[in-house]
Parts: sequence; structure tokens; C-alpha cells
Amino acid sequence: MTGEPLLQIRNLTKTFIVGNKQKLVAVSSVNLDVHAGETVGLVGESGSGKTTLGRVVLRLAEPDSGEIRFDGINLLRLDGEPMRRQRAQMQIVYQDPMLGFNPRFRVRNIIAEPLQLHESLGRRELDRRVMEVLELTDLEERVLKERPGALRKAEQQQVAIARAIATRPRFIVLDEPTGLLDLSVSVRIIGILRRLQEEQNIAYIFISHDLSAVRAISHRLAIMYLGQIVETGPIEEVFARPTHPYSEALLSSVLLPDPHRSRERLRLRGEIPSPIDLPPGCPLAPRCPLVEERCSTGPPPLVAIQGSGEEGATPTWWSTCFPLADSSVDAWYGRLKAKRSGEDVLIAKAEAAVEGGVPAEAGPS
Amino acid sequence: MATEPALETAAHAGAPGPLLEVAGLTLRHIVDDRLLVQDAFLTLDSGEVLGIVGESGSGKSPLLFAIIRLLSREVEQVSGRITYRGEDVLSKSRSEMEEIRGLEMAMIVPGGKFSLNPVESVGHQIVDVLRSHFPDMKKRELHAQAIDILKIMGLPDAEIRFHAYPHEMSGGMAQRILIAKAMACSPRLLLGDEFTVGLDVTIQAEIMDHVHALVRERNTSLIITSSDLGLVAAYCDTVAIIKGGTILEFAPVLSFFADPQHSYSRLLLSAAREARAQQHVVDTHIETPSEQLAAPPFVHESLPAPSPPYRPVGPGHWVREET
Repeated sequence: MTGEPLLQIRNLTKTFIVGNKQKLVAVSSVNLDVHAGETVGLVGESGSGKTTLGRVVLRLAEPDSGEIRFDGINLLRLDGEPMRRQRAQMQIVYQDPMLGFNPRFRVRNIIAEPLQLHESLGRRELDRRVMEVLELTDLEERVLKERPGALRKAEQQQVAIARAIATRPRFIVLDEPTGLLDLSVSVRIIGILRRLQEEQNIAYIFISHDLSAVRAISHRLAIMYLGQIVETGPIEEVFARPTHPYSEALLSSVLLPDPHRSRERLRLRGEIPSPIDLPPGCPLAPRCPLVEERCSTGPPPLVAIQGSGEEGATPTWWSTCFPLADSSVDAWYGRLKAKRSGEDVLIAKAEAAVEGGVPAEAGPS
Repeated sequence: MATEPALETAAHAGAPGPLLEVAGLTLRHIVDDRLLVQDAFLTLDSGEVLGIVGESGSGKSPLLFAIIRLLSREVEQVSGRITYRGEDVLSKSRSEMEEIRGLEMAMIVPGGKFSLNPVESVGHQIVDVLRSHFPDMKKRELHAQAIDILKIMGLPDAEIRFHAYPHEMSGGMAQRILIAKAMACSPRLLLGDEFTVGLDVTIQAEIMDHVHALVRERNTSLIITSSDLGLVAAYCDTVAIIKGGTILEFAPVLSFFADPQHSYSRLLLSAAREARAQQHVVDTHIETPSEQLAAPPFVHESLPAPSPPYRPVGPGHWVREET
């Protein structure tokens, strides 16, 4: 990607105060760029802060600190009318489209509403624009007269997309848009989104925990864990060779429709902890199988990974991991792989046995 | 510890023949007069893991619920038979079924903490299951056994978590409790209705690994319903593809993924593969032949199905003729 990104997120932090004045850091110092016509897939487990990040970027929730630049404009400085006008450029599609519809409206009005709010169009022009987005989203004309509840889930989602693109936005947050759909339907929705992007050069943040859907649509991947982006880079490269232990654990848990594929995966200890009052240091430290002492000392360093890109080019692949910072990437992959297959335990045992002068055991105990 | 009062009379200890056989099962929804399942068949051996795959509304759940006779009253069984260890499940009385459920076959329900009793500690919910089948068991034994099963399900600090309430648990932990309840009495047949839906992939993998290891260790049979062919590829021995209440293809997993026969199976698989491309494969390790041999092969040479619509396409691989 060249040129200025359409959306620049810098040091964005959002905390919620919960219960007895406890701080829940939902989004923690996030940096992310999204270029025009690009999709950034945002993945992570439930509670990792993906949805909050999407909402904060659109200022549907106010961040505590940081910067959001959209087309060079600092969104956090805008208020009232200028921000309202800006919203025509930025839209969101939710997992359950019905939550965003007035159930008493007919589909035509659902799609026309944002146009009426943002542009003063004559009746004929309004109808033309509604028809235009209908066509762009593969919807049949008959749905215009229906109420949304009468439509199938997939059609509802198409209406939500139609409504989102009505004002010709340049950026859309897609928050699990295929989460409730059957596979064959979800493939179709992704097809529509991709075509729209190609034709209109729209930028997407695609939030999902369905990694296969993310892979089918994204150019870049950002992996979130406990409010932080732990790794971001070109999608195929990160999928093929994730560097952060959390990325490795997440991606190696995906089940593929191939019975020959091994089920070896990097195992984390326990489950994602509560994001309330997190200790300093890498958020993964308490669960990480490759943890070192320094991991809990402070925020992890940002490490640039040399992918297939040209040597010396601006790096587009970043990982946040202490031990990775002073290890060659190849050596690091070796460690990840040994951890995944359990080989490292055998090696350690063998080494200990040699040192102790005891013959090595034949197999894993 | 599994005693089998309900089925002790079965004169077939170690008899050949499948553990479970479903033939010609047709289920109708009385209220909307709709056929949910039509002429369905299944066959399952001891220790076998079967995946029933279909999209929402395909009839996979009613088929599963019919086996353990937990269909809602609005669903009527029009025809068919279900044979479990040589005995007709449908002729069992209510009380006989109560004995069978839990001891012989058990259901893993989805829904995590929402499917647990919110006002009873999770440990006691497992004790309840054990006590209802083993009324003579001492309190201390019940307690110890419940903690054992919690440990097997990978629950950290099982002794402490025994006293936890569902609302104190994450979705993944609560789902483990539901599995522990189903497995408490070591049933021979486990039925799981999309029980990992809604869980994160890492948790799903963790839980499925536990269930799979346990099933293999105890030679338990498992039937899961899913719309996820990835799940089936990773954990099942056999797969049945169902659409509109009809089984379209029934095959050993390796043979199915190598060469799906029905056009709908191919559609599902290509959708799954398109969505998943060749994800995360750079240093994928391919199972060596010896590992493959370690898994027991389940090849069903005959089907409890009317032969004409189904034709064999390979060992144990059956497809319904397309019209």
C-alpha cells in the first residue's frame, strides 16, 4: 500500500469503569492504519476488544485518549454538526441486522433514511439512489415493500449493507456480518462485500472470530488480545507464519476441512483472563508457553518482521513480543514449532538427562 | 462402574452388529404439518465418532433427539426404527428410557451457562446426575467421582470450582460442565448437538480434544451435529450429509473429503474450502500412514437403508442417487 492511509488510529485507548470503580481496559494503545480500498481483518476471542475498537473508531463510543485521523481530519476534534456530516463517510454493519432496523419501517425507508438525513434529494433522485444500492447488493426489487422481519437472515444482512452504502461511504466497520449465517450464504455475502469494495474503493475493518471469513475478504490481518493488537501484517503471510505466540495459538486452533491435517497446536494455559486491572507487561504473559522473566516487566516492544516485501521497504508486518525482539525470525519459528509438537519437552528432558548423567528416557512420560 | 439394568436382558454381549442403527426414520412436525426428517438412516459402531452435517433447518437436530427420545411433543414419529444394542428404543417405556438416558446414552447440550441450573453449584449438578443413577453411592464417593470428571474435562482447581455457580464461569468452562454431566455415568453413546457453537476457536479446539481423547479412551461412541466440515474432518470417523431431512451421503471421513459424491456435498465442501483457502499450511505436518492406521477404521459395508436410492461408491461410502 502506498500513499497516506485513509484511516490512521494512534494510541487509542478506551476504558470502562465497572463495578466498584475498577478499570476495564477494552482497547489499549492501539495503532492501526487502513488504506482506501483495503480490508483489515480484526480477529481475537470474545472479550478481546474488537467490537469496542470498531465502535470507538466511528465515535459510537468516546475514547479516553489517542487520535483517529480520517482523510487527514482528526475525528476527535469534531463535534456536533461537522461530526454528523462526517458520518456519511463512515458506516457500520452489525452481526444481527435487525438490531439496526426500525421493525415498523419498510425496506425502502430503511435504505432511504440515511440518504434523507445526509443529502437533500428529490423524490425521483432518492428512488434512483435506492434502486442503485439495491442492485449493488444483489437484492430484488420486491423486498422494498417488505418489512425487515419478513425477510430471510441473508436478505436482512443485504439490506443492512445496502443501507450502509447508501450515502457512498469510504469506510465501513463490518462487525461479524456473517456470524449468524449458514456457510453457503455467508460465502455469498462476502462476495457482495468484495465486489462493492472493488467497484467503490471502500475501506473495511472486518471484525470476526470466523477466521475463514476473515481470510476470504481481508488484505491485512490484525490480531487482538485483551485490548491490544499483538500482531498485524499482510494476511497471507501472517496466516502462513504467525510470529506472536497468541497468533500461533489462535490460527493453529482453526479446524480445516481436511482430515489429513495435523491437530497439533500451540496451547495456552487456561483461558482469557478478565481485562479488569491487568498487570503490566505483555497481556499474554500469564498464559504464554514461551514466557520469559522480562515479559511481565513492561509493555512489549514492537518488532518489525521482514516478510516477502523488499528489503529496506517500510515494514508492514509488526509483532509485539519480548523474546522475539532479539531472536532471528527463523530461530523463533523453530521454537514455536517445537512448542507446538511437544518436541521441546523431549529435548529438555534429554539435555537434563545428559547433564545429570542419567540415560535419556525413550519417550514422553 | 457402568451397570446396565435397562438392557441387561439383551442376549448379545459382544454380539456382532452395530451399537446403534436407525432405519427409515421419518419425523413430522404436527403443527405445521412438515416433514423434518425423511427416511433417515444411521449406523454406528462402538468407539465410532459420527458427524451429521447440514445447514440450519436440515433436520440434523431432530434426528439426534429422536435417538434419545427427547423430541418435543409437536414432533411425531411417522415411521422407522431405532435399534440400540440390538433392542428397539421406541418400544421402551418411559421409566426404561429414564434408565437408559445418562447411563447408556447421554446428550451434550449447547448453551454453556444458560443450559445449567443457575442456583446450584456446578459440582452438585454433576452429583445429581450420578445420584439419580447410583442411589446407593456414598456422599463422599459421589463427590470424589464428580471431581474426577471435572478434572478429566480439564477444569483447573476442580476441588474449588466444584462449589462455583454457573454465573461465575466463562462460556467455555460452563460448556465443560455440560459435557461432564453427560459423561458422568460413562455412557456408551454420547450425542452432541452443535455443542461448540459460539465458543472461540481456541476453546473449541481445547474442548473437542478433551472429548475426543475421552471417547477414544473409553471406547465411547459419539454423534455430533455440526455445520462445520472442519470440525468433522478433525474429529469424526464417519460423516452423514443431510439436507431437507434426507441423508444424501454417508461415508468414512477420509473417503468423503477425498472424493465427495453428491453435488450438495461438493457444494458444501467447496464453500468451506473457498472460505478457508489453504489457510495456515506452510509447515503443516501430514499424518504419517502409521498414525492413520492407529485410528480404528469404521467401514459400514451395509446400510439400514432401502438400497435403490443409495448406491455404494467405495468401501462404506454411500450416496443417494440424484434425480
